[in-house]
Amino acid sequence: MPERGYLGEFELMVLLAVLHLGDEAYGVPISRELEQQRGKDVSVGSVYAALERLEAKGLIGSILGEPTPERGGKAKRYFHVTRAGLRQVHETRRVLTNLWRTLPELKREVS
Amino acid sequence: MKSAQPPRLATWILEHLTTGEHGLALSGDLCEQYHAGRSSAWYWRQVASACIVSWYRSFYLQRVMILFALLWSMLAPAWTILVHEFENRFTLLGHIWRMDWPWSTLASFGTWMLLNLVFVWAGMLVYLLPAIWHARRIDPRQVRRGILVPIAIFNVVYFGLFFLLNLLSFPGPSVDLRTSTPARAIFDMRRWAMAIRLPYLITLVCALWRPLPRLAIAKTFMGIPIGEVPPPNSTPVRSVDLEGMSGFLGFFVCAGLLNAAIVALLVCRLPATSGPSLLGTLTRAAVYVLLGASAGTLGAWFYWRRSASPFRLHAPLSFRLFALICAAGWVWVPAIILLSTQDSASAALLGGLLGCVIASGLRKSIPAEAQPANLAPPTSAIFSHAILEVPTELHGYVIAFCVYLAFYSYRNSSNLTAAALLATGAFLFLWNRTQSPAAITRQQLRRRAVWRLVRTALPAVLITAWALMLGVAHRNRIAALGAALANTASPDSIARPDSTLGGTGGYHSIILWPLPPKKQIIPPIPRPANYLGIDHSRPMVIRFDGNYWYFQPPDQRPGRLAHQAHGNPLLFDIHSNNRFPLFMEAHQRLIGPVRIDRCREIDLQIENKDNGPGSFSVSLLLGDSGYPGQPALALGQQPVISSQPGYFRFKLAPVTETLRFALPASPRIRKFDDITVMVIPEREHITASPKIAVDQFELLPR
Repeated sequence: MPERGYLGEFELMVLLAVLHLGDEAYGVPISRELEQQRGKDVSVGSVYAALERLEAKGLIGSILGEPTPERGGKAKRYFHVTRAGLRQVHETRRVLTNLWRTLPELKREVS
Repeated sequence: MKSAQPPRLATWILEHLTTGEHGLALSGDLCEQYHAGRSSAWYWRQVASACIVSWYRSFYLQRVMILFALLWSMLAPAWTILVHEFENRFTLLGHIWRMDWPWSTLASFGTWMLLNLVFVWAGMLVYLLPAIWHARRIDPRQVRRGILVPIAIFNVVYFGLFFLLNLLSFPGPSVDLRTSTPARAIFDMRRWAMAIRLPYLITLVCALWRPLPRLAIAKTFMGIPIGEVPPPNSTPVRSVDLEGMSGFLGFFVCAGLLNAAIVALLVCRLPATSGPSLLGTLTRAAVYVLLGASAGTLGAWFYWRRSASPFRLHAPLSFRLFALICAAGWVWVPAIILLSTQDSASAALLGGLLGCVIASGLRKSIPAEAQPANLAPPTSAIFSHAILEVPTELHGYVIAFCVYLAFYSYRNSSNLTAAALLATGAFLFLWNRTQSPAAITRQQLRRRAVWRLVRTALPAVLITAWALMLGVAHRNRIAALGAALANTASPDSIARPDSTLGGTGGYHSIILWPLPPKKQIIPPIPRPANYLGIDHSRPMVIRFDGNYWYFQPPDQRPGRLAHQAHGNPLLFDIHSNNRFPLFMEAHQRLIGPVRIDRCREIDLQIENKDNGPGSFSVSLLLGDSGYPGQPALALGQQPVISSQPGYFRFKLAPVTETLRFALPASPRIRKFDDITVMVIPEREHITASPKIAVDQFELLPR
């Protein structure tokens, strides 16, 4: 039975990256996408930890791909978002949008 | 210049030491990124991060279980005390030791194991009971795991931690169980109590760990997932084949060695008689050699047949052949153990021989076709930095490290450690130097293995018998010396030793000097030039300001390697870290001689803060330094009352006691200026120096 819980910040980012990449969502492009968006290095191990948590919650699924020599003969594992995952993404987006909308206009502070 | 392949050690760590479902995919991703241009430092950082993250997640998921194991293991010291009281109350140990060998040893070990396992199983039952009650069913796999895992690992963890503690601090923590209660022991945070808790904690965590961490190596062999069809056009990784096979072979060899060592430590004993017959010694040696080989075989077989072992399905050689080859090395283990307890350097040399025998035997039994003859360069990108992979021979550094550390251990008299290190270094050296046979049948391999076993077993029996005889001779010398010292015979009548003994680490002997005197504000009272002069009618008090000697037989005094320290003997825990007794003496040199005919009695005032088991007594010897060859005058032996059964009380502060020694009317010597106080402990106290200090001597005039 999949675990239920709220999405953490990093989990949400990983989920959105998987959605964005579509069929080519495996470890390397997911981490690359997160690095580009965040502007700093991302540990591939922590990406996989987040993917495992999402898989345990039933928000994503995975299938094994083909091994290649560049990967030392190891197969790729492709991830895809499930229906429950899509619902969770939309719900999170709705909540975050409402929260942002209710905030007063923030003035940028210069340190 | 960057290597074409990612760091092998990092890859091994990633594939073997991380938990998690997608370990192989992660490994492949990092490999892909490395080939895309990432550096080795980046690769190492990613591997370290993956290990930390995966284990953190595993511990987090099992946090309730870990907390329970922590709390349950807090009860371990209390359980140890209860077991001790149980054994004493029912004189269980007495019944066991009256049995014939080897049943006495097996029964003792079995009882100890059972009592410890009961504690672990009780903890597991308490933890699993709510889950069983809730689910209304028992998972047979969990029960089987819960029963078997503690049996398999408790021994290994317990003795491994014991070995580690002795390496870190000799001779390890000790405590008098008579003086503690179970309730108090639960909250005991001393080193002893924490050391006791660790093996139970680790065993409980391993037994209750659910599910098994998904280590990637259990899923693949030769680069192919076990049980799955190999993907098309896949290239098995050469390095995984060779390294995986070597690694597993090494693991099984070590498992057998450890098992053989444990059995040898428990079972191998010197003959009880002081003059055993040659036939009896040879028979005993043959039994020990057979036990060593059998224990090693059983230990390796246990892990060979486990479900996680890839050798169950795809072994480079059969277990029978493997056992025959390795038994030629395991037969040396009893001799190594016996010699190491006698602090003989031969133990280390035999360890090296063991490593050579096993390495050459295994290497010559794996045909060359199982390994690629030429190391073809790996495929690499067309513009890679290096066309050919630079070979890295890590084993060279490991061999050098083992040799250096072995000599260091030998220098510190840790012969067992030196043997293990030399065995490792010799194994690695010969493993990489020995050529595999080109074409050889299984029958030839088996014949060779049997012949090799026969050729090594016979010398092993002879050397084990020699070790036994050496041990008996040594024991006889110590017994003779102990009897001579107890009768306070002339030092000249005691045979001078040919060689001095060391311990298993620690110091050869110790000389303890008094603490430097504090700066005195008032001038000290000057000492008289001579004691008990003609007009002297009052007792003369001499404060003790000499030194204490701690040494082991057959030495009669601390050697030139003696460790010198300042301190109070009441504050020091000085133990023998081998099986030899520890002698303690206090020496006081007087400024001037005292005439025997002026003194009728010497009252010795001591402070006793000893809480160890066993009582002890004190003997006084008077000597004249003007006549070095003259035998000392012995004034007899007096028991220290506060250490005797019936008078013993746990001491938080030192207890002062006065022992009276009368001088004979017609003594052998006329005067003395040297007083020696000899502490003579009983058998239970013979390896730990009593915590007593000499306060003063009071000379009573005639």
